[in-house]
Amino acid sequence: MTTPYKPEIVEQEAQQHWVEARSFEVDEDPNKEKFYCLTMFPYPSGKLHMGHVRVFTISDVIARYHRMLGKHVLQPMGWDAFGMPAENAAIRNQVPPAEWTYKNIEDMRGQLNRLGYAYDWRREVTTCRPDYYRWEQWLFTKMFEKGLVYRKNSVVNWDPVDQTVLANEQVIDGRGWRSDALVERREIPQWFMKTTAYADELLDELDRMPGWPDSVKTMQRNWIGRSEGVELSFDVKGENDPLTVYTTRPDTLMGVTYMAVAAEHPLAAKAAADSPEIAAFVEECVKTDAAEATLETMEKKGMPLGISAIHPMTGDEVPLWVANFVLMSYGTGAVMAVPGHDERDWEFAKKHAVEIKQVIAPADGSEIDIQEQVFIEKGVLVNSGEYDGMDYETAFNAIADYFEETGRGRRTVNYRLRDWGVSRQRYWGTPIPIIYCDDCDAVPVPEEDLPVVLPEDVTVTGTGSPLKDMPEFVNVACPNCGKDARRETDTFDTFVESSWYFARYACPDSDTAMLDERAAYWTPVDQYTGGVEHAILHLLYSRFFQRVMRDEGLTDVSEPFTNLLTQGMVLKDGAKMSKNKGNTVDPQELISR
Amino acid sequence: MMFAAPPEQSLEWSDEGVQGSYRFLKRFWHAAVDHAEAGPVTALDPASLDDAQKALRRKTHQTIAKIGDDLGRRNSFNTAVAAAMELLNAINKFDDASDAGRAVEHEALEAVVIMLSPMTPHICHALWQQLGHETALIDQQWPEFDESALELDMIELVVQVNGKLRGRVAVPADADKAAIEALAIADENVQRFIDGKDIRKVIVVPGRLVNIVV
Repeated sequence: MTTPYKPEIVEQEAQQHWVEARSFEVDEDPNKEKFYCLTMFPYPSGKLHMGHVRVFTISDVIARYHRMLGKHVLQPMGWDAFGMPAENAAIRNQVPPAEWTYKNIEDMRGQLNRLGYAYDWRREVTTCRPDYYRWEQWLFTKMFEKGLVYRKNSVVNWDPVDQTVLANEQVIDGRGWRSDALVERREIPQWFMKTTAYADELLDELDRMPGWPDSVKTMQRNWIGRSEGVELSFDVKGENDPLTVYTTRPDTLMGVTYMAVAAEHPLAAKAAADSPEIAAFVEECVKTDAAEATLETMEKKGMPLGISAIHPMTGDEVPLWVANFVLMSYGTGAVMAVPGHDERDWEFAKKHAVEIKQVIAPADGSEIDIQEQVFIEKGVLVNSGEYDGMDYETAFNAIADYFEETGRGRRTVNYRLRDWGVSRQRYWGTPIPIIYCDDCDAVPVPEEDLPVVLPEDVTVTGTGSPLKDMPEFVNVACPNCGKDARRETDTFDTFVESSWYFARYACPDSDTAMLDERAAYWTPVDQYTGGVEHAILHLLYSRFFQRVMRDEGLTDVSEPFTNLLTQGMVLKDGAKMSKNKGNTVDPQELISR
Repeated sequence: MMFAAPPEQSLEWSDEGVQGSYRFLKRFWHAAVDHAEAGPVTALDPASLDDAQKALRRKTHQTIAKIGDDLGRRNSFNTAVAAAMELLNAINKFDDASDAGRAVEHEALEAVVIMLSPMTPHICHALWQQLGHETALIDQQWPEFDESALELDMIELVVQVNGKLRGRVAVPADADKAAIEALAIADENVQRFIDGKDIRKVIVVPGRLVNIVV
């Protein structure tokens, strides 16, 4: 009889060979064509799940294939080790987050080895180690010097259960993505990285990236959301200051029948002082969350303020309303409403019995009834005085010119993209390297005092970061003047670690630089594989961070990932395989079978 | 997992799918091991192969081209695995213990082992040794694609119009009726006699002639 197939023996022998022959360890060889093959690295939750197995296998297949084409292939693996689950586990199991995390890493590394993936384990990167995060602290101080980071009081999404600030994308239908608690709007001082400084570059480069799927590029473009419009001002009856609004449809100016301001707008506050109803409404708005996706679907509410603006062209009085769908943080915190030609404005006008005027007619001459249905397409101007008959572009320019010439407005470019808020009020993360001194305000930690090491032997209680209660961590001398000062106890958004790890694999052991010449050899990543859920944030942050490193002189590379493969989810019985749903299949079981 | 769906789409987990994969691996194992245990293999001489051997060789190289494209350009792992399975089926159907037959089979089996190794590296590592190699599969290059293996024999057919000889066409040996008809009608010499006329019937005698009735 022929030799039988014994999987356990076959697997063990193959793996033993690869280990002994160091088959997947690669150094920088200028005589060979390099190929950097990378999977989005995992959070060490404890056990591999099927989504992991699928994505790691896809990447492994690609790595092995390119090796057979004669290329010098780097496929590294590491751990995105900071994050909230470690704290939650700490509370549940009475074990410090660090200890829980390191144990998970050991277990998962074993699982990965059992699957026989082709990794160069010498380059393993673990983001919760100081030898890793010291470099992002260092870069942060450099960014501080250049004005690329700043501190600002801002309205944020406060998750009352997880006791932390959430990014807009972490708020789903007004609730926290992990806690499911109703999110509150609060003002808190936070550190921001100036992603908007790179908005145009991040947008324009998308046109030169053939290795990315169109769908992802579209998502990035929409997220950056560059729009060209006009900023123009309306005088306000009884006020000295004009009301400034931004619009991408100046051609519809004659159709303005009301204005709407955000709850936090000074004019709303003024009206609130005289009216308890308005004050109550304003307070309600402030409490509900600031996520844009919610704005689109929620009920549009508003109240008249009893104040009027003067239409800059017709001289008509235009009533002001306060509305829950206007964001103080977008544009000027006030909008001109054209119910005839904007869907949201139309719905609001119908609900609150505000006048709806038609000022655009279809270019093909067909009839429309603006009272029955809003007309949002561009067309030909009507009921617009001297601008009648013009098309969109002509009208845009004529009206923009008018406002620029009379000094009442200007053409501007607006972005949907906001600067990246990186502060988190959590313990298990990279300490933000700032010291607060009563005299010197916020002072970056000097290079020679980095890293600011996160203490690992702590007890997490669930009611705020333990760092706040550790004088040995908090108390420090001001690097500037020497007086008693306090360390920042907030930590970085964990997306900071995942914004540069791909470059660090090239030189994981360097203790003299964030990136050295080995990064110049290996980067950019030739094939990047991961879940499509990261199509916006992680990829955008990485593209931004890469450019920051470039402008700090660490690298010549601008685009971190040349080819991108986004994988689909693993389903069971039609639903996403999810620990929360309890419908997972454990890879470990399959391995043993 | 690579077989069940293309990477960008969601993958419906199926326990039966896992069983199916395991059965395939066992068939794969035995195909290679049975072949290896049947004795040494002589060198392949592409010039002296019979039709069936040429057909298997053609399949091997078509598969090399297809899988290379699936892995290199399309990131389509499920179709790559499917193509390898098809080649393995062809190998299993191939029943030829002659020296030339075994040589062609050996080339086919080695190709499958190499091409499946990115997806199933462990079993391929072992089978590479079984097939007589001392160097490890991990250091092996992707199989070379031999374009000449794809060449199809051409045969010449006589073309008649209403029974009278009007032209000749060369068609691939495995062309189907529709392809033969099209080639016959398109022939320049034949066109002179059918131009402007209604074609009422086309009779194809495979391997011999085409008669166009107008």
